[in-house]
Amino acid sequence: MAAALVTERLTRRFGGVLALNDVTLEVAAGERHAVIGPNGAGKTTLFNIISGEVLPSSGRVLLDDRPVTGLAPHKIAAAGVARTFQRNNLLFNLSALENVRLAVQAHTAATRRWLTPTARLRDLREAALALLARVGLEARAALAARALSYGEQRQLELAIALAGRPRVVLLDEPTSGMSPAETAAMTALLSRLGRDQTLVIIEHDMDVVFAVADRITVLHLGQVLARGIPEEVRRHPRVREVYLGAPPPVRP
Amino acid sequence: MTFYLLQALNGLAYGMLLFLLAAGLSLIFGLMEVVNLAHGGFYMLGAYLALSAVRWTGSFWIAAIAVPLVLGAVGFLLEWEFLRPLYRRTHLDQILLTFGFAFVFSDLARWWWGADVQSLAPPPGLDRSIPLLGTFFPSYRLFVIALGAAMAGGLWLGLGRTRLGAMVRAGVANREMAQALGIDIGLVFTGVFAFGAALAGLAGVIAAPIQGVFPGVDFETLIVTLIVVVVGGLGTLPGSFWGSLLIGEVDTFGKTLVPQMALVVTYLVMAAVLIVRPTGLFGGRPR
Amino acid sequence: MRGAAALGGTGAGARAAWIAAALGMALLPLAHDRYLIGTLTEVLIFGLFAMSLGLLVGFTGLVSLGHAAFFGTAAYAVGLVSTRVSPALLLTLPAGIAAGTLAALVIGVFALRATGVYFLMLTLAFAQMAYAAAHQWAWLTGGTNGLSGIPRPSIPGVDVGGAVPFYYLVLLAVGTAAILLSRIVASPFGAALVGIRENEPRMRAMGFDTFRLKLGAFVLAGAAAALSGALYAYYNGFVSPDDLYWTRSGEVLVMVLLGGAGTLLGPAVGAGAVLVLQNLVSSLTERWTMILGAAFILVVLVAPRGLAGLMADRWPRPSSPSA
Repeated sequence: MAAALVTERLTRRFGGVLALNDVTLEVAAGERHAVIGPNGAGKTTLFNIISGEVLPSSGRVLLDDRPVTGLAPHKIAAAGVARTFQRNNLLFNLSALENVRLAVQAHTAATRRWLTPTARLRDLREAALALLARVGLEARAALAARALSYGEQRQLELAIALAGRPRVVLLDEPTSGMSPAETAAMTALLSRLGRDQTLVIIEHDMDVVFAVADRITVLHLGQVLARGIPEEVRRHPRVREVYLGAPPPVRP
Repeated sequence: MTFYLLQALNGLAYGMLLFLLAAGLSLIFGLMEVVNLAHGGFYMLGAYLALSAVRWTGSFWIAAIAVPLVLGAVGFLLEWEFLRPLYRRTHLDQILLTFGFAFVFSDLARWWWGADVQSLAPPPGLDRSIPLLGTFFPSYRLFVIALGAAMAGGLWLGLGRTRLGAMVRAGVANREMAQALGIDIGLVFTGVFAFGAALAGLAGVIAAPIQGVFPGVDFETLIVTLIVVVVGGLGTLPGSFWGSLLIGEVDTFGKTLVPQMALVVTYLVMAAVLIVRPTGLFGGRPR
Repeated sequence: MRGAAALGGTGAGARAAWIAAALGMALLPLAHDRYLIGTLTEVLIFGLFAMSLGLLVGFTGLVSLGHAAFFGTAAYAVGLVSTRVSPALLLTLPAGIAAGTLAALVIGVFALRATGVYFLMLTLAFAQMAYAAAHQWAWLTGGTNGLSGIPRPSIPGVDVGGAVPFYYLVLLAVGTAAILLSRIVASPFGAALVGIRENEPRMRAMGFDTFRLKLGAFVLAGAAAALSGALYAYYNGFVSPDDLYWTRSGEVLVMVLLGGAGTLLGPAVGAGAVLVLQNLVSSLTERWTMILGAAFILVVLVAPRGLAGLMADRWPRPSSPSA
């Protein structure tokens, strides 16, 4: 299977702290890959490097065998990497529909049409409404993002990430802060996503991880501790010791 | 060679003046994230008030002490009465408020002191040139250099070694943490704002015998100070110091070596720094 | 929601306000009052100037303190071409707009590398550089004296020398620009600008090249400001460094904030209010700058969302469905 996303020996130092140390990751096209590890393991730094918000100290990122390291975030997004954020990061004063419509628009040439009323571009609106329906927010389309519940905002994040049919979707703790019912709904939603999208997901909730992931990489103190299919990782002695065996991480 | 050395000294004197301005602007920004656009107004009022004070009292030294105190009080009032109610709003609102005061100060000065260029004589004892490097150099400018260096050293020690300085540094580093430690951060804000105003006023007094004072000097000075902090990096004391010296020298040499292009030289330096380091030579990550 | 209204700006209320403004502006000169016509011409010119800054402040979230640079540069270009080459409209107007737009492009490329307060300081600094240049390069700009004797533009077959015909020329130009600006604001490009105002890093993560979009907005706003500056040069017959000075930039910012950023009409209304106030007090006092400063302070303290915001608070509109 061809690799959709590869990180080659990524290392990142912040001052004297090694946030990531020689992390190599290969994610096959269509795979659902979970990255787990205790807080401070370097998971979000990994995402920030892949999406171009942080530059690696060394190493590189390949998207479909093409290096994207050093590209600006918007270029990496245009190349087919979408992401959500650990803390909801939305256009809070705009409606849910407008949030998704802008995300759709980002992958079209519509932004260059600066004299055509947006209202006349029905494709944008319909694509946005379809995405909202996909994540179960169609009834909330007209509400301002800030008026949505926390769980709904996470769903909106997902809709934004899915706009523009990205090759790779990076999901940073998609169920954090959600109620059990919302978590179950999100898990079902993620499982239903088509295999044309490659998913990399950071998650603390092990039920979600084992329900969604094909393969798992465990990060610990910036290094890859273990990797493999869920069963292998579950049985890995070092993982049990530092992670699964440890008291469950505190969730907000 | 002597010519260049003398020009370098002139540039140093100008740089020290700029430092008095940039230090206050930068400290206020580092603490409150407010760029005080009335800073040039404080400077101008300092120069004009010095003029009047010397006329009344006949003593430059009384002016040099009293005027910064008056402007410190003005800064105190401005922060206490006008900026404080805006703490919960965006920093932009606070900046726009200082812009409004820049208008008011500018017109106030024109009203009270008129539209002519006025100047102040250096104080007795510092009013002549002394032999230096085989020629003569105004002793007053040497005094300005010494004063600027003393103020820089004092600020450095004051911020680094005193309890008060520790409180200010804590506020710059992390406002919430400082409050949790029991520091009345509002009082620190007011104090630093007033102190910055007093420093700008002192710069005005000190500059008056060299540069004179005239309507519009407020913004001319504000712009150069902004360039200094953009070049040096906002919110850092070393950035203000080295940025001031750099721009002081660049401006002085620009004016003597390429008078037709003097205006552009400073901006070219700023543009170059911005291209290489958008947050200034000593600046950290953008906020 | 503020954002929803700002994005479309095509609600029934906004449309009615636009139509009323257009009709009023078209019919008022029939009153044949020279003073009124002069004031209206100025309101139109500065209304466009304020709208152009409103595109940056209200829609893109870019607060520029140096918008007079484009206004003044265009006015100087018109003055130079009119007095030294020819007063033909087809020559002077493009020259003015081109000069102002070019200035916006150059300043934008540098100032937009920075964000937040750095952007604010850089726009102010670059505009002051233009002012100082106008002051120093007297061989070109006339120095402190400025350029005088700028004639009304000549158009083959039409005489706009009189106050009323000139007024209609200005109305045509400003009306066209206002329609273009309202189309821009309602377009996907405009929607992206609002997105940048709301959360620029998020827009970047979505795949928008926010630098280019901001530069686009900056240049468009500069072009509109340049048009207003060109019209001002014809109207006033005189350009001086004051037209590039920070007080001019501050004045237009007061207009925007007073009227209310976030709509196009708000800044235009703000321009009208400031000019009427200026006309009223000019016979009483010379302290106009101080009054402007006080207006700044008052708007920021009392009405941060401008007159439009005050009205909205008094007569809240039922929340409209999303555009």
